[in-house]
Amino acid sequence: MSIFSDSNRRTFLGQGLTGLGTIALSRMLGAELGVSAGSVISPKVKRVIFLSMAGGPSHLETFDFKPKLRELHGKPMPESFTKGQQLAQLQGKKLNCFGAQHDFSRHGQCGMEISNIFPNIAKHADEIALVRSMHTKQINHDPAHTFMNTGSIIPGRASMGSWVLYGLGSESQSLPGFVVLTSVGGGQAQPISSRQWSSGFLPGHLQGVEFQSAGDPVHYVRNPGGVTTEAQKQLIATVNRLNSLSAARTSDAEIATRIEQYELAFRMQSSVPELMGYEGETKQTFDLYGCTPGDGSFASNCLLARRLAERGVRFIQVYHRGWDHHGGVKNGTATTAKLVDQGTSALLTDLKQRGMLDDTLVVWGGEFGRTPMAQGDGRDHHIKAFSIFLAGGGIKGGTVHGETDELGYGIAKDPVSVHDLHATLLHLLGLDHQRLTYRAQGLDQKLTGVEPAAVIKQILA
Amino acid sequence: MFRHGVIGFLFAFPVYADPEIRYGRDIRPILSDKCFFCHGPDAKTREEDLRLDIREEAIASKAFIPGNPEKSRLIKLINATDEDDIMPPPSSHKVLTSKEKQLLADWIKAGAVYEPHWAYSVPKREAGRDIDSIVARDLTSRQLTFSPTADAVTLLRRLHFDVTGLPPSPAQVAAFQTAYASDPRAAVVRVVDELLSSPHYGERMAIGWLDAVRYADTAGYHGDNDRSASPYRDYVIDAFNADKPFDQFTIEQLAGDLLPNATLEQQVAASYNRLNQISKEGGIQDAEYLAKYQAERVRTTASAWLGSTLACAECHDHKFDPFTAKDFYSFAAYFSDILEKGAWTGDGSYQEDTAKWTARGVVFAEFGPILSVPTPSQKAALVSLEQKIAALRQELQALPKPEQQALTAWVSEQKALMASTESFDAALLDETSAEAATIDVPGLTDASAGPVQSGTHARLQESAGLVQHIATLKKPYVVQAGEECFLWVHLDPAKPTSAVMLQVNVDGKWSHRAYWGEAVIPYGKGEAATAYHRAGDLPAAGQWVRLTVPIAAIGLAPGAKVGQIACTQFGGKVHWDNVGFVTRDPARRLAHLSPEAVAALKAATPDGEKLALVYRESTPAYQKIKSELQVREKERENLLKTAPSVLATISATPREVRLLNRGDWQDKSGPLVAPAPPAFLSKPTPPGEQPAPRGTRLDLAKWMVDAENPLTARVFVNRLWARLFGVGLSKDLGDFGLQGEYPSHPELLDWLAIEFREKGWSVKHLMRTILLSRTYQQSSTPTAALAEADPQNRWLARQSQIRLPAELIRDNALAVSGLLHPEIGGPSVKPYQPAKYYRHLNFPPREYQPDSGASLYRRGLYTHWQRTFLHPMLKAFDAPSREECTAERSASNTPLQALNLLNDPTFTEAARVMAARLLSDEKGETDLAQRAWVLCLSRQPTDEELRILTQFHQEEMKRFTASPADAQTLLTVGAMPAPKEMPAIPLAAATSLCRALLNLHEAITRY
Repeated sequence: MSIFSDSNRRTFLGQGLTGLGTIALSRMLGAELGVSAGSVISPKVKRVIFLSMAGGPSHLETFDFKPKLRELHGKPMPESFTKGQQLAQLQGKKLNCFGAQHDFSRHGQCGMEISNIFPNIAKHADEIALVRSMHTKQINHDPAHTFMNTGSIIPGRASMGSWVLYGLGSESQSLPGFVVLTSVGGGQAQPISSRQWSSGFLPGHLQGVEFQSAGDPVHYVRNPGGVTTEAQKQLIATVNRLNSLSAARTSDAEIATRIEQYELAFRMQSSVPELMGYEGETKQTFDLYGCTPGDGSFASNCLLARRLAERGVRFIQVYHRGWDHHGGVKNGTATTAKLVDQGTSALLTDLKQRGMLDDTLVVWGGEFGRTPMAQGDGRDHHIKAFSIFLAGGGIKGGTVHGETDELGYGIAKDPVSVHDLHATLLHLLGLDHQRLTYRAQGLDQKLTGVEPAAVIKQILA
Repeated sequence: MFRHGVIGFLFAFPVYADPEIRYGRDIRPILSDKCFFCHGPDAKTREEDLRLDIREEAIASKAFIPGNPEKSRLIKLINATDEDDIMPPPSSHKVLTSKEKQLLADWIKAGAVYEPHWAYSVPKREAGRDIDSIVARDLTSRQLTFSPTADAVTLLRRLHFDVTGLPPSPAQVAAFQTAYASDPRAAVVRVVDELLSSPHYGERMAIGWLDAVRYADTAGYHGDNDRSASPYRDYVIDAFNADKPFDQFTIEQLAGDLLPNATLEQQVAASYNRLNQISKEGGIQDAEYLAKYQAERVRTTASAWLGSTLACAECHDHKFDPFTAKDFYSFAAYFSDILEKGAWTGDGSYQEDTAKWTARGVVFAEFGPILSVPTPSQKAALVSLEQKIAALRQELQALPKPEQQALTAWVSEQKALMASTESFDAALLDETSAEAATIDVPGLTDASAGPVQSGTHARLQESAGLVQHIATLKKPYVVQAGEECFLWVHLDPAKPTSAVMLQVNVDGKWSHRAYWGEAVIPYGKGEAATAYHRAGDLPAAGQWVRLTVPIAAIGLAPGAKVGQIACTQFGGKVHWDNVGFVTRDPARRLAHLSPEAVAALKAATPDGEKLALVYRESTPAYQKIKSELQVREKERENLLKTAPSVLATISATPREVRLLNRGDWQDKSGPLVAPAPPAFLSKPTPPGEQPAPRGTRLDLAKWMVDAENPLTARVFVNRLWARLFGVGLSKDLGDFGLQGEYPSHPELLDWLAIEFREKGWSVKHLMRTILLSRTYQQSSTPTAALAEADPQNRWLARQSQIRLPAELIRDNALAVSGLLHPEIGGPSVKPYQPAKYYRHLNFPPREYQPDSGASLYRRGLYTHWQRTFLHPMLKAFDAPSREECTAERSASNTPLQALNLLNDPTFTEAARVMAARLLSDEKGETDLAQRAWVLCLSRQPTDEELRILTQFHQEEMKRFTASPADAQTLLTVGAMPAPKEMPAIPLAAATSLCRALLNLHEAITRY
């Protein structure tokens, strides 16, 4: 029944808790390679940390300054921009221009213009590639996230983390290869579905595993009360010995994998608490991130992301749910920015000082942007243009790619689709988005879908 | 390594039983995968005006010359070396293997014969064949034979898991073994028939169907709010149990509401149409979401019944199959009559005024029209309530008119009251109060149980220490100058109390208290004098006494708004009744009169009739009946509100459906389409004949189950086969199109499809036929050679080894432990779930409240199905979120599964209850490991297995003896308490033993 049953069909009798080879380990952790993913591109990075700014950060208050919009503040939005366009909550309402609520300054050698609400991120201007010309297809949170994560608006497709794991496998021998972390604060916390890290049609072991900051970090990672680590080990040893006998009796090839999974589960039971215990981190590090470890903040999750990256986790997605500023965009963006600015910056600094920024890709961005038109003193959802940035291996720092029009409504130059972003991400990992395919529902499915997608060459080093 | 193995065995087992080249099996998959994208049905992406999917056109375009591969362009181009010439082009990333090239050449040499796609031609079968003869012929041609029949225990377990999903009990195993020894065939027939008539059969069958029709308990999108649907799930279970013919089953789900005199059951079935994901996310647009819903209905319906990927045709003609974009939207148009909104936010609108539906009694809720489906017990309660209500109304009618004398006396009494300025007791806590307060602790006593001061009930409060009840007033009582508080208490002389206290809450603060007796109640002690005012000694016991305290004494200022009152005592037994304020407020004095009565009394010219009426309404006899009537009416309303319901499918004015260019809902330029089945699967209207009226969902359903429909029966039997053999005869359960797999046994698939249809679409007949076949009953243990050559068991030379689906893994643990509560149907239940799992849900935020009692131990299929956050256990074992049709679950094998079986309290609790069950047997500790093994796995353990398990058990005994606290802790897992009389250490050790068993691969696998 296993999709990879072919490669699993080998006789394997568990040899107790130490009898495992690395190959088997990496496979169960998600290392089956995408079959047609012959890697012809030389990889620039080994892993991805995707900082998902859920809710839709306003590009106009963060990375895309529009003086003209300020000039027209309070005046009607020229109809040439908005006629016949889809809006979310502003549909059918009177549309007025709403100028940037924060000032911007130029930073770095490159002179990148970044909002003053990001004093820390701004220090990395020369390391990041800013894309001001992202666009998407879905104007409401739920489907827009689904599109950003899976490349499709139809639920049930595989998320990018699962695709990456499918293509490259995991390097960790005691943690899942795709981990999701979440935090909230600073704005309306839009719900997110576990669909966002689903493996969809890809095999189940490639799904993202969410690590919780409250309660057990991974579901059922803790022994039942009254069961010591040693007792659990004995139990697993017993189960595996009995399973081995069963494998001999039934020739059920699946049992070999089952034995491996129990050993891995046992290792996870100690590696997860070790990971979440922030052991070995110095006060300096905590100060850098500005967090109390395990406080559930975005900063603490950034630190955790670094720890996961160190331990070989392939794809780490860090959600912050707090960018949905329909009202009070001025204070709202300032508050949310304060919650993510230092953590993001610390992550970049920390990766760099550990030599890990060279083989890690960091992506920062939301599921869409926000309207140049006012919604009271806030902004509505906007899919025609938004900004994201990338940093790390293979990225040409200090680059600004793409431009929006003078009001920040549409794209004036070099549009970048979500599929282009996916293609670029895969490219940096050494995967060709055209070749990383999986047969499901009669199609060779791809993360980048059926429409043409292109790697954003201009931001590559 | 593996590949060499295959080649090695190829000599022993030919890959195909039939060595001739067959277009459908050998050639079309190559052309479809490698060529049709540019040379296939979609005109928009067609290159060079060449299509290879139609023989005549391919020959006309000189793609090949039948019989002459050397001169055929196709052969030249696939063998070209120049990058510009070679087909398929490098940019397509498609490559032909040398074997495929050879096949194409051989096929052209043999005449390039096409054949219609196997799944699109009507099934046919040879007379006199059956499952075993078809499989046997195929096996013979591969020089193989059937494996021996599975041993009796394995076979019995297989039948149980496949038919009811529950394991056999040790007694059932023993009985079967005895019967099997004397007459195997008869024993199997009997058990198959028993299992097929078990009510649990429907539960087992429902799982796969519920996946296909995306049944869930929540809305799906965004806030993923709850919306009831369980009656639909129960319909499915009942339908399988009753062996409802599959054609009828199909018709009822797609169009039950359109059947003449549709029954409640048929209307519930039709809620299939509204199981789709829906949204009430702020800011969404009605039209966009209507487009999403219609597209999803096409995807799910086409996938669930037709095994077709019609989804591809939403934006363009299908690349591989003959479905056009027009087919997609024509199919969608069948569903456009469903009364619904796109945006359930207040921004959405129905396609027509709903007044006519409300007038017909249709209830509208958060997500539109609903259909209430009371459970049998609720139904009985409703009938009895309605009878009571009717009777009470009758009684009111029948009350005699008042006598003139009494009326006159009453009128003057009321007028005197109106004129009075005397103070009086305004009750706040009593049945006689016009503004009933709600009390935090339920429980009142009536006159039969003890003294009552006023009305029909009093409250008995008894405790060794501090005890109280708090009443929350419906609306705040505004204190006026000069008032007093009063209360009635009745102290029990046999059980004296030390103190009684009245506490008054103003603006959410408790700082006004008076007490009688000793200063033993801690509330307010040490605070301001008015927060702890001693009003006097305790009154005499054994009688009702009215206590009063002036408002000033407890610091209540005029105008203070009293929200709550608490009645507190320290020790003893006290009856409390009738608490309130002594007031002169004229409005409150007349609070017992209705506004009509006040008006009638105040009228300048008195209306005798009216006065007689209001007087009658004020009489105690009338009031008593009236208040009972109100209680019953409220009960009825609550019952209806809490009864399970489904979202109703109501056929309203069809909306216009357009072909949406590239699926863009904003593009209104496409033509309007009418409901129609996919053109290539339907008969055109003969020329000259009247065009049929607008097609309905009923027409669609009838077309699906028409004898000419080549897909529906095949798709269903193939899925059933996949469930019983691990893999379908065509392995892509969701794609019978050209990209799907040519069946391993096309003849068998057709035989089954025809058998199904001809035997009245009976699913039970189909099940019985398969279960009684030799093919099914084979051993699932492969020989080494067979395991290498046919690892997926496509040749059917054995049975398959199948991991149980998520629900059954749970059911099995509950069943072997004896915890399972086998009730069938009803609202979904909430077993244990990790805390905070729903923290990403919002609008509103949610905290999961697990159920208590028997609901914690229901079968897995009844688990609350939260689409965006499916229960972690179900999710870990590959149950789908059911956002869309799922034709096939994957069967992963992950560390999360191990963690689940090891540490989920459900399994730990089951192990402990199983252990207690074994220990409470008269055998006690004797043969414990062996008995546990048999209970869990039905078979006897081998010596080696028994030795390993026993050793572990002994180690655990030692461990728990050394640390008895661990034993105690382990026994507290789960809501079901451990038997107190059972010594903790042996029970904990036996629990460990059972945990090991429940974690075995064999315990979660059907062999």
